[in-house]
Amino acid sequence: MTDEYIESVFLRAQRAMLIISDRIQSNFLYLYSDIYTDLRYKQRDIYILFKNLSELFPYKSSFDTYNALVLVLVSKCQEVDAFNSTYSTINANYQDIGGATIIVYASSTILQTAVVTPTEGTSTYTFPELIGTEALTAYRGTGTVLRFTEGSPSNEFAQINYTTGLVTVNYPFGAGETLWIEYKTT
Amino acid sequence: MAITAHITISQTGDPTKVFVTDDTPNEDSETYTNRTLTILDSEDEELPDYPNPNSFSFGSYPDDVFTIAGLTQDLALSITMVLTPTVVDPSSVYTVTEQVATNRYLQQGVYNIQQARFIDQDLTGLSGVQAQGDSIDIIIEQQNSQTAVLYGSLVGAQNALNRGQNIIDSQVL
Repeated sequence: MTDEYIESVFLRAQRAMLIISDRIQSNFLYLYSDIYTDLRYKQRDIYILFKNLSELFPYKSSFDTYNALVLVLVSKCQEVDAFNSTYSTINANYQDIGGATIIVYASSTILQTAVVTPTEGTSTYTFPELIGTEALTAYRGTGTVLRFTEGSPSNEFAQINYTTGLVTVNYPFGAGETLWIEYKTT
Repeated sequence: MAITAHITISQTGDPTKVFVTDDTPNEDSETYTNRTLTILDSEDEELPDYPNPNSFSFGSYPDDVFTIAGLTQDLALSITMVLTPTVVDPSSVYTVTEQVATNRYLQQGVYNIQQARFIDQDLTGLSGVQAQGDSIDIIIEQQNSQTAVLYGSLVGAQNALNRGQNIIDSQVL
């Protein structure tokens, strides 16, 4: 697990905390106390992991389970994205917070990450890193969770070609939109 | 060239150790007959294995790093380095004091809780909610210890560290 990948997880964790606070502030959550409680609980877990792992980052080689806890933090961020996808139609303003990010998981074991900014107006981007891998999950911003199952590298939101590394999304990239890919190195 | 004494206090992954580094700029522009460290805890007491003043001679410590070992919990410390010049330059500053609150034990405590929760999935005698609350409380005490140092209160810093350590000690993970 590279330093760059871990640092990207820290950024993602901060974004997830922001998403939760924003969502809670949007009032509707008070109508669903179970959701409110669950989100607050999740946010605190993310904060604790983010705070502790970032503090220990310089000494991470001293901890056998450091990388495993980083992946726990990733999974919690994924849960936030999944929740946000579920409720994305309720607060349109919320789309602005993280809508510029797409994250593509090329393996259940995440070892590398790459971030690019595709050309505005295009709908495709080629990741050489993807060639020969098997993507399992993709995320597009706060609004849409894409899940590529093994052997079915497409859904209604995007397609992925493991032979060419081409990712095709269902609507064009916006200005400054960032495309993330997380993949396994061999 | 006039010098101004300077030290940096640091830790690594090992919470039992604190490193004091003499990183005085242009230190070699003068010569010295001695260098010492005075290490005091929050009660102005010396540490058991480090009677003051501790020798930090240039001959014995050519790498300019002094290691305080054997810590059993985080401590609020006041560390003073004194350089004794061969010839005093009136424009030089030969003494420096740094106050610090170490946090590695509290950080380790938080880490251990997360490991028990998420990796080992074995929180004996502690619910998930309690573990989360304890983790945040420890982090708050970390922050409190640093804030107390900023206000110049090593007693306040040590109190915060003790509260955090008490939370860790009271857990059965």
